Amino acid sequence: MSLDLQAVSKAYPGRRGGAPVQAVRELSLAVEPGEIVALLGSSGCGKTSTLRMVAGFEAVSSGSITLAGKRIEALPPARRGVAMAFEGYALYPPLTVRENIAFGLGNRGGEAGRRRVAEVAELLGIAPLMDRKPAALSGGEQQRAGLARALVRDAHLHLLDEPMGQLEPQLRAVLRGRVKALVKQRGLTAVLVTHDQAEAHAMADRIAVMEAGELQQFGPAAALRDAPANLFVATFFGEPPMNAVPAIAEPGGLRLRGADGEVAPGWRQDLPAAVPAPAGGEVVLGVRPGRLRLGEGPWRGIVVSNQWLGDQAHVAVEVCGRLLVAVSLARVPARVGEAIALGLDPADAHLFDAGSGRALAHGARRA
Amino acid sequence: MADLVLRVLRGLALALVLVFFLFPIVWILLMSFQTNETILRLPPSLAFDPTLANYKALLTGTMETSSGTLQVTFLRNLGNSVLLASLSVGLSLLLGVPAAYAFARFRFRLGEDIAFTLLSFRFAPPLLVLLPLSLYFNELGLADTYAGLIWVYQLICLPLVLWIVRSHFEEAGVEVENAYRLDGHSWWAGFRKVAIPLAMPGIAAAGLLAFIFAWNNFVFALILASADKQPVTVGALAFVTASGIQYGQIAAAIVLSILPTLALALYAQRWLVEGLSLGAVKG
Ligand SMILES: Nc1ncnc2c1ncn2[C@@H]1O[C@H](COP(=O)(O)OP(=O)(O)OP(=O)(O)O)[C@@H](O)[C@H]1O
Ligand SMILES: [Mg+2]
Repeated sequence: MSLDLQAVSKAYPGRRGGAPVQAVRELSLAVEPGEIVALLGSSGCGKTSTLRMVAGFEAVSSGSITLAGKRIEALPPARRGVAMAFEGYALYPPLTVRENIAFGLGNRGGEAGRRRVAEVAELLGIAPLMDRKPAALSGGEQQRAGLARALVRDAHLHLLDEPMGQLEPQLRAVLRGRVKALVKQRGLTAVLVTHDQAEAHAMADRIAVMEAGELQQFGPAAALRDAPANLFVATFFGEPPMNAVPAIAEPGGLRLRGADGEVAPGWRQDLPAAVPAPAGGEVVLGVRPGRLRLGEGPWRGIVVSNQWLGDQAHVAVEVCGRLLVAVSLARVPARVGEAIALGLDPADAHLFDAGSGRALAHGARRA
Repeated sequence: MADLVLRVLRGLALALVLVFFLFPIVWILLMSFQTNETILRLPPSLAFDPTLANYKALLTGTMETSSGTLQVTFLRNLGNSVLLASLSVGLSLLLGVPAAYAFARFRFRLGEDIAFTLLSFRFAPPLLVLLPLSLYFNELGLADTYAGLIWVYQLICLPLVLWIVRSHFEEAGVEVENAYRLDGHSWWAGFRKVAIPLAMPGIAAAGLLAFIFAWNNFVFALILASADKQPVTVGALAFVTASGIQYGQIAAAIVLSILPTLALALYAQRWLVEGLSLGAVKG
């Protein structure tokens, strides 16, 4: 069902009269029925706090939450119709894995419920562990049991708080696909919290990037990659992160600043389109590592490192004291210490306001 | 072979440690079956004719001494001890467990200060507290009542329960309860069916400790209660008679007064070890 957060804020009281902790600020987010939305952000940015408010464990400080057309922010958790996979698993210690998973179904489940439990357990690879107690499981197994308990339930909304954080990458990659297929097949609506961009990419229809309690951008992965709303999203999203170089805008192009913050003589970037610039012209030029061209272009740099990772080369180049990272799908025949030419196509450039970090313009090319 | 030797040695070592620690209790047990004369003879000897006279004296309430027959109120004292200790522990669990839950789960103004104040009751030397307390008690009409004593015993029991149980609630974490609530249960059900069972080892430990402390208390009862409300600890003073100390009866009294605590400890053990009541969350 649809979930609608309107200007939701959460302030935790400070310890011993200290200033309150503003965990979530004015968060507005609309999740469509049947959609999977990923909340992505660094540790402590307020993801779990957001889920806890939606589930009803934590009262909102202000704002409203609507689920399936009903205001729920004042309802007790039991009446919200939400299922959740907890960051800390939260399994009932005295119950077996099977009992844990089936718990939310109660007696209503019956034969169909039992079948669904077996099915989800099979899907998550915990079928052989069903008669064990949580204490006898590894962290990753407990996590999958917790995820299964959430997935078997019928609910308006499924909240999954880092549901695969404890798993090794191979298993995670497999389960991502299976869980997504299950969610889609049952038509569930889900909010998924994750640190893992690949997971967000693979599972979510749309991604909400949060930082310091604030929503930075909300949209499909492609939009976040091609048109990041600000410098934070631009550098947060993508691996390795986008290169960002402060610059001064002038008609026809940019004069770039070196590591010392001064305008570097001769380091320029032509931008044929009119450069939208704030007063003073202070901007930041962003370019993805995969878009930086090596061996051609007007810039001159020194190769600092050149690593072949098996399927791509990561090359670090120092230009006027600034370290830029380029990714190339072919080996780069440059040795450390050598001079190298590099540059970029204006269609790959992103421009940000140096003060606020807000995006000013994005090059025309889409990934 | 070496294995067997090791096992035997380990058994021997264990037996030695046991004898060392249990010796006083064993000795008291032996004393309780002897007359004062055999107890006091020198050198002490393990050879004696066991007698039940001490127990009989305690249970019938009459004590024969060289200077005549005395009344003993031991059974009444024992009853008082049971009554006082169990009611105080019951009350402190009733008050302390929800309070511990509140301190563990909610942050409220002055919360830590209140919790610490309660703990500080344990620091105060009881004798210092007693004088003003007995004055208040006289004024309130609580002096020499069971209710008054039970109330004072909260000074002993409540902080124990509060702090031990609180740490168990904190350890169990809130998420399991939250999961339970999300599955369609009320806050109150989450407290009863999840939080309490998960904290059960702590509750049992705290209850047992509080019971032992209450049982062993001496000064509060000595000052605040008169003879017919006094527990065994105070009642034992009666064995110091004009014609000497009745060691045999003291020993028998000790044996009898250990029994309830021992029984409680054995009963509480399954909670202490196993902790969770299986199936408490089911259904
Ligand atoms: N009960 C609380 N009392 C006070 N502050 C809290 C409380 N819970 C969380 N916070 C603070 O709120 C902020 C957001 O916490 P939250 O748990 O939502 O982060 P998160 O995005 O889920 O992080 P992670 O990825 O590490 O799980 C953090 O700074 C945290 O310290
Ligand atoms: Mg979190």
